[in-house]
Amino acid sequence: MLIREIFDEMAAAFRRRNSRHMRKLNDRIMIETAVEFSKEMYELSVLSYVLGKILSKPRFFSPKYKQNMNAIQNTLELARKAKDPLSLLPTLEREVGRLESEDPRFVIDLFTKGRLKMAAIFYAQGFSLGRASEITGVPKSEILSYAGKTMMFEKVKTEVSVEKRLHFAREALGG
Amino acid sequence: MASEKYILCDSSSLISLTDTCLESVLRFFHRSNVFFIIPPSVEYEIITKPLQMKMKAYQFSAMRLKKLMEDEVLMKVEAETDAPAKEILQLTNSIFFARGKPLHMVDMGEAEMIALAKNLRITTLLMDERTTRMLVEAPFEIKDHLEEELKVNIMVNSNNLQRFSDIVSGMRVIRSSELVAVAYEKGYFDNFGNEKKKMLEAALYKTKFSGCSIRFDEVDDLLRIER
Repeated sequence: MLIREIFDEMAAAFRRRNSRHMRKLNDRIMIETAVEFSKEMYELSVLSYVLGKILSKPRFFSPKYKQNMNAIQNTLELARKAKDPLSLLPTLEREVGRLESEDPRFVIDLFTKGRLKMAAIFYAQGFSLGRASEITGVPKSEILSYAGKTMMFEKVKTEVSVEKRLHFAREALGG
Repeated sequence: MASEKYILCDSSSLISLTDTCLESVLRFFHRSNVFFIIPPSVEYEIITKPLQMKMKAYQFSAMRLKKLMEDEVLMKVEAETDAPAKEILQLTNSIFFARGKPLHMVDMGEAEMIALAKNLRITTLLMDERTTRMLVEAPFEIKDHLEEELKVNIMVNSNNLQRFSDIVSGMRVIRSSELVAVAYEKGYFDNFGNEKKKMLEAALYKTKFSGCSIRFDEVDDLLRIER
């Protein structure tokens, strides 16, 4: 996936206020980021997650937020035409911040939440906790806490039974 | 006096134990001469770094872990593991390949932990993290998992996998869930009288929700075993 193509698709999904399209795009970027990691792709995965989140909240479609939504839209349009689309990322983050500041509901902002979510997804995909933290800059404690409340551990079978592991523990702990 | 026993801890298990307010389990075992060892990188990650962070909430766990270090329940061991850790990192990050490119699976801290275990000849690792545990125990399960998640074919470099398997041969991984279960067997929850089994159940679920990589059916199995 080329960065410009991603911005084209992101701008189109946002223009149409199509949260499903944005989420699907985020899924594809996530896989791309995992397979061929680059900082840029990671930032785009966070951005597409954040934009998908915004599009999934009907309150952001009310007149109260029109100006903020247009500002995000315009920055996305600028980015897709820019020589270096990624140079507009800080502006996009600022515009999303302004949108949120109109009616703050959470202690952590959408980009922080996006980074945490992406980190948890990397961990769920099969990368180690340390690697997920290293890639995203999110503390391990945050990733663990988030991951523990998901079903990710249910997906993987292990070769060591509970009985056997308990036996290891008893031996190690002097049982 | 019972002979000394050593368990090497990674940051994930210590994070989930403090998150569940169960770090006193470490103190409980320490009274029977069990020492919990950490490499310097884990100390930095769970104590030094959180204490420097702006967000005060991170300091709550760090302060409690610092106290465990001061009381020598947790012991930092510095050993010359730089070269072997780099070798382990290089190996683990060139076992699985997607689209011809190596997948960087683990970070330096996790590689250091294995290197330190090898260096100190400690065979028991306390680790709640899933991927490194599976690399040690069942690397082909990771391959299948990666293929399912990333929807690409994953190639395995058998030589590197074999070399890594040789390094971790004999290592056993336990999680904080097993630590809590054995603590239960040894009377840790006895204060709760008739409700001690219920307390174990609650503690195991809390541990899981705090990030210990244990499945629901494994929690059920543990509860079935612990009568």
